[in-house]
Amino acid sequence: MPIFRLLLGLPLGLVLVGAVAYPSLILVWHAFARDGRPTLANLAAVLHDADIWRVLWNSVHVSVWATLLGGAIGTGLAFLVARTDLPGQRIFRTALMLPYLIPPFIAALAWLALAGPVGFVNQLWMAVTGVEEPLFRIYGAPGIILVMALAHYPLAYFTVLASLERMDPALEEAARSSGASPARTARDVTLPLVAPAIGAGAILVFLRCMENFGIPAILGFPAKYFVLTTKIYATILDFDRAHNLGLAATLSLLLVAVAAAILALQRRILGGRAYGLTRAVGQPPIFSLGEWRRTVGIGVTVFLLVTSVAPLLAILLTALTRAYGMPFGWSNLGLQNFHTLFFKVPVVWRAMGNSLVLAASAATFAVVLAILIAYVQVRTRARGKGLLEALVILPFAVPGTVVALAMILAFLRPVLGLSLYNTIWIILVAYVARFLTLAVKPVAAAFTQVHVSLEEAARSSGASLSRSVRDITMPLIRSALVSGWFLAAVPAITELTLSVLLWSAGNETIGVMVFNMHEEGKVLLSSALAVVVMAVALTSNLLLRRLTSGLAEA
Amino acid sequence: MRQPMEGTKLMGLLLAGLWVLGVMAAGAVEVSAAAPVTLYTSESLDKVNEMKLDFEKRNPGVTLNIYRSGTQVVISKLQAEFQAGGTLADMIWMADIDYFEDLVRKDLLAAYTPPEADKAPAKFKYEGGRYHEVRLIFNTVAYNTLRVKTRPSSWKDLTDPQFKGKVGVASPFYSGAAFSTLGTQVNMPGFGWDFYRKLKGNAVIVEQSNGTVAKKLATGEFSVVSVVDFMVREAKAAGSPVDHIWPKEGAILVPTPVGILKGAKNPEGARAFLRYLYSTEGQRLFVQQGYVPVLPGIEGPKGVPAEKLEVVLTDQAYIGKHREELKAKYRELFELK
Repeated sequence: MPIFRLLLGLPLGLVLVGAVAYPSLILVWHAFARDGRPTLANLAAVLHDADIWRVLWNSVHVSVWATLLGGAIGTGLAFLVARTDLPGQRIFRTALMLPYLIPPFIAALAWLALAGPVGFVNQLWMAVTGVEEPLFRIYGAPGIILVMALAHYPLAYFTVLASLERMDPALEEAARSSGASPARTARDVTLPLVAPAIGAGAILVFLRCMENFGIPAILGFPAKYFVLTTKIYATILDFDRAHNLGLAATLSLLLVAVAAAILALQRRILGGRAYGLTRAVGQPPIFSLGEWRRTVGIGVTVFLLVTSVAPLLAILLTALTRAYGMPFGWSNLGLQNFHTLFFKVPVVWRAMGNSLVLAASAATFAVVLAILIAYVQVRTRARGKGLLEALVILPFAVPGTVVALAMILAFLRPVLGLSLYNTIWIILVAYVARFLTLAVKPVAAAFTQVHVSLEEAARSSGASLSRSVRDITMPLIRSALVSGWFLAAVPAITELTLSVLLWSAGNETIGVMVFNMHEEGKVLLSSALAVVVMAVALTSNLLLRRLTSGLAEA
Repeated sequence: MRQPMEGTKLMGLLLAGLWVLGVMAAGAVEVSAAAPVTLYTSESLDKVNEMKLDFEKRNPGVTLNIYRSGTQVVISKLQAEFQAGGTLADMIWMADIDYFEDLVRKDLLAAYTPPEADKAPAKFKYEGGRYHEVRLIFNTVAYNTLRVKTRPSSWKDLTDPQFKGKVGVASPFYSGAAFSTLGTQVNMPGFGWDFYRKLKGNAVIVEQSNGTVAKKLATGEFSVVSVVDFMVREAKAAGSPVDHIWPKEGAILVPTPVGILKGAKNPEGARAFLRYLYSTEGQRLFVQQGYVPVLPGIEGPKGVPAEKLEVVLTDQAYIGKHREELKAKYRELFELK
């Protein structure tokens, strides 16, 4: 027994202490210390800086508006899809996934191509009206809010849709048969029942907006408009400023505090309001759109074309443009940017290789660890399970920028003779920590479903432990392992927030390449590479969906 | 768990699996065995990658790894690494000569002068060969040919009211070229801070990088800009509606030197790269990329007058001494954060 425990605990402890607990503590230490001595100087400097308060306000401002906008869009679409006779339901259900599959920073670049100062919309506007001023400016708060809302509304949509589909239709039928009109049923029965889901969806959107780095980096920097994540990024890179890392650590804690406060609020509001939602048996009553059916159908189609298809087309056209600034036309289109990218910039290939190897390795480590964690959580009565769970969730619950800073602070200098900084390993460690929880979820769920009596039956029939694991447990959790692997790998392939702070010469990721090219003003090249990343993201997501489609809630 | 040995076996398998994966990942990531030459630079990403390809082709067995970002970001990374006990960089190449001076004072640069370098003007070999100008970049005035009817002729055209709100410059806090220009113009006769106040009065837009300025000039967001010359020639060659002038007061030389760090992990490889940059092939590639070569006898890029370029040399001593003051004043004037 002790050896078994040691072998189970050692790798787990090593990873969770080394990749999560230690960096977290170092981050907190740096927030409250200068030159190795505890002090509140960083906190005082942050709290006395009017600039910081404005940045904090910016973060809350864009996130609240994006949540209201994205929450409304997601909730409205979920109602239309699940409770009305909207035409083309099947197509809409798939199409509404699209924005969820595109990494937010790629979405920001696509919107820049469509609606930026010289994007296609403004060019058309200026050409048609002869006005010299663009129709609207995408840099700054309004653009950030718009793109954040459109990038994250699927979270609200999924949450509300799931709730609508799980609702017991008997409740709504009872209202209808008692004489309530469809509108009254929706208002007095359906809406209150899904209210917790609407709230939960909104919280998800809000947290994603608060922690997002790519959108405010791409649409905020040109307007000198900072939010907390981009301010932390800029502070880490500003070595002219004394104690910049300590200040960045303090800002990180501020960002985490805001996110935690929102989560606590959610618990308070939604606590005890989980209604008896069961898996739906039978059809819920459908609200007929009547004569509006066509109009609403066209409206949703136009919405999807404008918000999902147009930006992607715009960035594709930009990627195919030969000379920037020349009027749009067939003669100005060609594959030359892709040619430059693949044949003259060798680092692109290496970055792609790095991203794939990192994603695959991080996912593999995560799945192996997930088995150990699920085993401990489900099958043992080990003490400290709460702590274990907290350490697994923490790196995903806090913003990626904070995780990256913790890694820098922890590993800038060699630890126990191991030098991680400036190597690909620091990115791998960060990825494993960040995406571990995604792999743990399906694996733990599978372990729960495999009742221990099955293994015991095998053991009492004379099978060895390894045989019972091989013949009983593994086949039952295999599909969970596969989906866990993909759930961790897919977001890692196009990751930006962590790697943009942790990359080094030779260890660049594909997300970093797109971001750096954009930063350098290489619009055509960055657009071409963004199109490549988009293709990779869509393919890997479709693969993920295909592989996990048989698993409920994976 | 009545049979602990079984559990041990299982865990052993898992650990072995982990180890194999680790080795695989390491193998996939680290392909070449010899220490690569690591370059930290603010050079244009695609251009420096093109150089890397050509250099590696001519020097088999040597790998050049590049960390490329804005000058200030590169310096920040270097500073962080020096503080943490050592940098990965073997050589550095960027638009902040002041930082090179700082490194010379700290005795962190290794002197090396490739034979070819002696043909270049002596003023481009700094501090006894501790760092070098390997090709020449100038800050000039450029304009959008679709939007500007009369070709500008002077730096002062940037303050012409007809371009109000359509004038772009790069930020001296991010771009080393913009900082050199600022430090030079405040001492040019008839310019000084007054010129910058007039720029502000003309609603100048301060962008982060020269690349962004050049891009927005091409798209017509800006009509006239202060920007580095090669980017304009490059965009013009690609067909964009832009051109640059040689201002009558002179284009401003933007030092973007290269130096080798003491304690480089592959000093021989670093010296080979410096030799390559000074070689005829290297210089010709520079010309292809739109730069003015530093070696005499190499024909310059199209659109650059071969002789009698009006050039204002940057006064490094002044800039070095007044660095903070310049930045503070600029920050205050343009209300930047």
